[in-house]
Order: sequence, then structure tokens, then C-alpha cells
Amino acid sequence: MLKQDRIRTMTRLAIYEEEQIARDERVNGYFGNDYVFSQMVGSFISGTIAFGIVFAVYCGYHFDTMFLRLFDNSILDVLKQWVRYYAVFIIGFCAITFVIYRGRFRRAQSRLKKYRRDLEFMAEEYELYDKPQDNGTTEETV
Amino acid sequence: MTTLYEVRDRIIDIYRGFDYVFRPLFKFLLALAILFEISHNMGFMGRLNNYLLIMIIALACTLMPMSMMAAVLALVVLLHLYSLSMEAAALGAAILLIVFLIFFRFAPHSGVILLLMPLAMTLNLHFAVPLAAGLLFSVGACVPVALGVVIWQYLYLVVEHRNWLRGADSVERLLTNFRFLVDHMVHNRAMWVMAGTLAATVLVVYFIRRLAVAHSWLIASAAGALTEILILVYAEYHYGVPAEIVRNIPWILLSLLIAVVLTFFVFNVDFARMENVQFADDDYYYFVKAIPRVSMEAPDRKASDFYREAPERDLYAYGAEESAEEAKPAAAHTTVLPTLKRPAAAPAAPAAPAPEKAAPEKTAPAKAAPVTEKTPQQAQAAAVPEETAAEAPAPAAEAPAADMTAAEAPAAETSAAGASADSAASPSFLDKVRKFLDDWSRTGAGARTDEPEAAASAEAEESGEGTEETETEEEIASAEAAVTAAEEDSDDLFLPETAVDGQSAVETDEFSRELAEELSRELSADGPLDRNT
Repeated sequence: MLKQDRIRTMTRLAIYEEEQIARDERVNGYFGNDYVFSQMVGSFISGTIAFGIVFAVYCGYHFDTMFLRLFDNSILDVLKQWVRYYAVFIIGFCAITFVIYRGRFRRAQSRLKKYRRDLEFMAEEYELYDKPQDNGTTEETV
Repeated sequence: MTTLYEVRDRIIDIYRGFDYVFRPLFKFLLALAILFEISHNMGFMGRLNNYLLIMIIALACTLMPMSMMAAVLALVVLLHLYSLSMEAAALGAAILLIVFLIFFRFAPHSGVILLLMPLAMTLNLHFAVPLAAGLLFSVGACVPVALGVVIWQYLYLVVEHRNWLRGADSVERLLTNFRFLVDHMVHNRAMWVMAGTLAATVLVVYFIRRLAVAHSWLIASAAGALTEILILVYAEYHYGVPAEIVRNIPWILLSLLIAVVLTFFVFNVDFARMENVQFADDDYYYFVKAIPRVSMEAPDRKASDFYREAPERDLYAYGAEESAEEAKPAAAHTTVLPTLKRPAAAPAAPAAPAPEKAAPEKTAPAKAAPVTEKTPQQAQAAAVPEETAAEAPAPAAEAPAADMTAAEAPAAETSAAGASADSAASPSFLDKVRKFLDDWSRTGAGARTDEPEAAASAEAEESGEGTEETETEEEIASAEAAVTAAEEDSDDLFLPETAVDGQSAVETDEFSRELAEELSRELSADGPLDRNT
């Protein structure tokens, strides 16, 4: 006999196991703060590289001026100004990272909770309907 | 419309059934299209224009995730740019690296949008991508849409000025080319307007389609298209940005059509059957809006067999112990079961229901056949326990035409007469009654027993064998016809309830005679019949 609830649950479980469970388990391997912090470190590194690329493009574009400023000792002013830009950029970037990855951590935990609840439901279903009958057979359900 | 729904469901079923084929195929075709586009429009590196190599790269892309595929295609673009000029490759690498470092850090799964954007811009369908992205993706999809515009504009710029960029042989020329590219990118207001327009479209579509209003997806698509038009018009007339609004409006409308088709496939619900449900538990009140999906199943054309369906009902009617095979011959009776459940005065009594209604118990008159747990044959046998064949109403009703025995009760004759009259020209009620009285006075109850067949069957029944003759399909059909005709006339005909209640046939006969006299008096007086008589 087919049980629709069980089929739906099994399908949901299968889809989740196929697509997302590995990622969510990896996320769930961290404490919340550790996970968010590690992602912020990654964002800091990638943001720094990206900002360095932008700065390199700026330097390439203003190559003559920058070269002259190098001998003029006024390049420090430019660097200070860019450091300020960098600080604003990296703080904003890390803040965005914090918000996004904290949300992801919570959603992953929520999905895993739901996954476990579905597993418990399946276990109860099997226990209820598929336990051996008096005559030693089991009621075959899917 | 039904056909459209069926086609849609068929397509979705096919896709679901073969998604392990369609997904790699889609990736392969996407990679192939982009690679051909790159080779056709850029093609600065001759080796990469080899079709065999393009096919191999496209095949390799089918095995990769979308973000990796985007990285591979970006590498191909950079190789082409490097063949043209180092400064173009440097700036291209800077743009692509920033995209990968910043954007793919947060949304690695939106790579398909980034890949689709340049392709769509080549086909002038770039207005459709933000509509689709807003419908199918999250709010973060606005970033790859905008970045796709930037990347495509950069490649377009390089291709457009390839002769200018080619062959920089000095540092000064190299720097000049570099500045030229940066200037054109930074000051390309049309590009920024387009990127902003498409990003805003994604946001508008996303937020509107999440609203809990009817037809939100269609409204979101229309609002997105309107947003595109309005921003482009505003940018063109207020800032003088060459947005080419007149040329773009047909493409925007086409994009709207694509979004509608997408909605039809992805989010097709029946708002007419929307339900608002409210309920509560210990912690919350819930206000739920439930909208059913439109699902049109393809017609399931399977031949159904009368006898194949009948056993279930037959088992229900006559007892579940019988096997289906045993129940088969009696299946036809199940079709008249609803007739059996008619009120007591129904003249259909003489036909199929007769066995059940002649059951010994005098229960409530209309108790639909003490739908006993007997087979029809058993019921027939029980219906004629001791009476003579002439007085037993049941067998005659079972076989009204061929086996018309003298045992037919007046009611059976009435029903048969009703059936024949109905099949002819549906005579009036008075004609029926007159015919009934004529027949009655001509033959009489006792005279009918003279017929040899009836006598034989009566003897057989008296000997306790019951009516065990097997019913052929023709008999069953004719019995059904008689029942149906009698049922149609049930409002007009009046029968003594005693016949239905299961009184003895003798009493029935006497009562019928009284009834005949009563009716003749009524008819002679030409007054209306009193149904309570």
C-alpha cells in the first residue's frame, strides 16, 4: 500500500540529501560564530585582493602622475587616501559577509532540523506500519 | 487552453524524467553557444577557433559547476584578449577577477545569469534576463545581471576598437590604450544606465512577485518591463543617454512575453480557486492563503469493461465472501441497485428487486433490498418458498419477455406494459390503466397458471429447486429496460404496498382485484385518481 505522506517525505529527504546536505553538514560542523568569522576572514582576503586590483588599475591609469609623486614624496597622501577607501570598503564588505553568512548558518541549521524531523517521522512510520505482524509478516508499504 | 496545459504538463514530465540528460545538454549548449559567440566576434587567437577544440571545451564544461564553467570561459576570453593586446587582457583580467573575488564569494550559484547575460545581449534579449532572474532567483541576482552588462560592454569595446588596440609596441602606446579602455568603460553612461536599469528591474520583479496578491508573477513581469521602459526613457530625455528606447521597446515586449511563458511553466496556479484559511493553535493565529496549481492531466484513455467494474459493487451488495468470478454473472444486477433503493411504492419492485423485496421479513417497505448477503440466485430461491408459481412474482419479473410466466404479479405486468408503452409512443396514464384492466379481466389470475411453461417453473420452484436458471445477458438487459421504464412511470403508477412488503402472493392477488374494481369505479366516474386509495 502506498502512503502519500511517506512518499512526500522520502522525496523531500532524497532531494535534500542529493543537493544540499553536504553543504549544510559542513556549515553545521562549525559553531555559529566560528563559521561567520572564518567567512569574514575569507572575505577580508578576497576583498583585499579585489581592492588591490582596483588600486593597480588606478595606478596604471595614473601611471605618470604616480611616478612623479613617488619622487615628490606626495605619494603618501595618495596612499593614505586609498587606505581610507580600503578601510571603508573592507568594513562594508565584511559587514555584508557577516549578515549573509549568519543568515546562511541559521538557514542551514533550520534545514538540518527539518531533515532530522523528517527522518524521525520516517522512523515512526516504519515502526508503526512495518513492524512484524503476529504471523511474522510485515505490512508492505512504501 | 486545456491542450496548452496538457502540453505543458507533458513537457514538464519529460524534463523531470530525463533531467539527467537535459541538464548536461543545457550546459553543453550554453557553453557551445558562448564559445562560438566568442570565436565569431573575437577570435583573436587562431588556435582557439578550432571547432574540435571548442567542442572539447564545451564538453568539459558539462562536467563542471556553473561557477567553474564561467571561470573556464573567462579564461578563454582572456586568451583571446591577450592575443590582441596585453593592456586589453590586463583590464579584462582585472574586471573578471573582481567579479569572481567579490561576487562569486556570495552567489556562486548565480553563475548561469552571468553567463547568459552576454549571450542575451548579443541576441538583444538582455531585457528578458532580469525578468527571469527576478522571477526565479533571489534578490542577489541583480549583481550578476549588472556585471554581465559590464563584461559584455567591455568585450564589445575591445572588439569595436581592435585595430586601435592591436600592435602596441611601446610603453607609452600601451598606457594610452589602457587609459583609452578605462576611460571608455568609466565614462560609458549608456552602459551604467543599462546595468542600473536591469538591476533595478530584478529588484522590482523580485519584490512584487513575492507579494501575496493574485497574479503576482504576471504583475511583477509587467512591472519589470515597465521599469525598464521608464528608466530608459528617463535616462534618454533627462540625461541624454543614448538608450535607443524606440528600438528597445519591441525587445522589451518580447522579453515580457518570455516572462509570461516562463510563468506559465513555473508558476501556473488557479487564482479562481484561491482559498483563505484561518486557524489557530496555542501559540499563533494562522491566516493562510492556499492557491491550487493548475494541473491538467492528459486524458487516460483506457477501455473499461462493464463486468470488470461490476464485481466490486456486487461484492458490496451481495456479500464480500464471494469471489469475483462468482459475482460476475450477477454483475448486471448491480446496475439496478439504485432502483432498488427507491421508495416502497416504486413500481420497479417486480423487476430485479423482487427477490430482495419478497424476503420474508416485513421490514420497512423501502429498505432497499434488505441488500442481503445473498446472491441473486439465492434471493430468488428464497422469494418463492412455498407459494405456487402462479403466485410468485419474482421469476416473472426476472424474465419479462421470453419467460413471461403466469406467475407474474399485476405489478410485473404493469411494469412490462409500461416498458413496452414507453418504448412505443408513451400512452397516457388512463390508457395504461385501461390496458391493465382489460388484460386483467380477460385473463384473470387463475387463468395465467394454465400456461405450461409457468406451471413447469412453478413445479420446479415448489420442489424447492428455486429459480436457478442462468440469466443470459439479454434477459438481464430486458429486465433492466423494464425496470427503467417502470421507474420513469413510477410517479404515475400506483401499486399496492403489500406487494412490496412481501405479503403472500394470494393477498397480493386479492388486493389487486380490489384495486381493479376501485380503479374501474374511478374511471367510470371520470374523476381524478386518489393515490391514497
